[in-house]
Amino acid sequence: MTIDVEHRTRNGLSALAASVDRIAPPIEAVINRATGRTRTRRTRTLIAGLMAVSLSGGIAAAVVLRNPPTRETVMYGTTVGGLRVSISKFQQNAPDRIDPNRSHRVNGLCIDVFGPQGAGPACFNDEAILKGPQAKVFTNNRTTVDESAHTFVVSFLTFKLPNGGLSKAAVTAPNQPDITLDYFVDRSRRLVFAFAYSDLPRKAQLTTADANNAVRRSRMDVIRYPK
Amino acid sequence: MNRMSEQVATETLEAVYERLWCPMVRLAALTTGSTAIAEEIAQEAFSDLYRHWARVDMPAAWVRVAVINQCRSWVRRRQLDRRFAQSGPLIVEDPDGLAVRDALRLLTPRQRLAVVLRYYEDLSEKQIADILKCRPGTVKSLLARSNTTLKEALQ
Repeated sequence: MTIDVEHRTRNGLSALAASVDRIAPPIEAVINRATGRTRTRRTRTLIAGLMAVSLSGGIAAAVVLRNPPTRETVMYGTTVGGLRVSISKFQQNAPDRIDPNRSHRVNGLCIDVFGPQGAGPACFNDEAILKGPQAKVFTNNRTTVDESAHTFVVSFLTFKLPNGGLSKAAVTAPNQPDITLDYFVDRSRRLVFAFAYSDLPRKAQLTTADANNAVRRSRMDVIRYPK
Repeated sequence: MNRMSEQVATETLEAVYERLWCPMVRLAALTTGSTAIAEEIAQEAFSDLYRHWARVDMPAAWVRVAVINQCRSWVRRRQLDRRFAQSGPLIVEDPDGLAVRDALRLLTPRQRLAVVLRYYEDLSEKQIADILKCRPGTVKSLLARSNTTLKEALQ
């Protein structure tokens, strides 16, 4: 390696390293992790808030995890979760919080239930709004079963947490309905939320009740974090 | 001189954690190319440090090796991670940083690790060999091949 290349490599590595400026989470998080209050890395989830967004005036439910370094909890909602935050507020605030160029330390699931008219371009608009580094939009058009039924759009944000992560997630493109989104578990590995999501007959469809339950169950964890 | 000089063993875990958290995240980020994964790895390493604290004489060196080992484990699991989650790349504005970031992607994980330890951590070939559990000659070979790739990419 010539001096110049070595010099550039060193400089480049230093510049790259300098670009990584992270605030350490509280040491309690490390201790909790080390002492087994949290289990295996890939099956832990800290659920610290809710995010429910209905872009079309429909039903929405979601789970968002707390941002560990800042302890910031993002909470949005609609009538499903008992919260009363309108979509306009989400649109005003979300771009600051969900920046596709940043690695957000939130982890969550957003479910928006659209009427038949809202299942087209609006889905993709929604994706843009909800999009994060690892956000995906799932669609499952139930109109194949019942013309009057809703289309479901699920945005699944799989952001990493130091104390947890989503156990499983199916990632696919919109309009590919054969999707299974398996389950979430909390820090105690208690099932928080599970559903199968597909057009296949043996798999259950996501219903409003499922979304509602997911929200309610998830809210319990808000209280428990971080202890 | 290493960037992380060892401090006296009387340092508390909390002090070590505060001092080394960011350097360890940086080291892992350079190795894995993702800050999100780097933070995960760093926290796992510090969890291990907490568990082994009573037996650790040199926490900085210990946690660095733990981070490197976690990074190597991550490389093995990467295929699975790719299936379920995509991580954002390191974002940097410095031209050298950009060039090196792209050039590092051309290296194998092992080569990348050797380059980061040599040119970022300033470790000797023997120290790198100890961490990678290989012979110094292997490290020389890794670095030589990496340098050839980097030279082509950077020039």
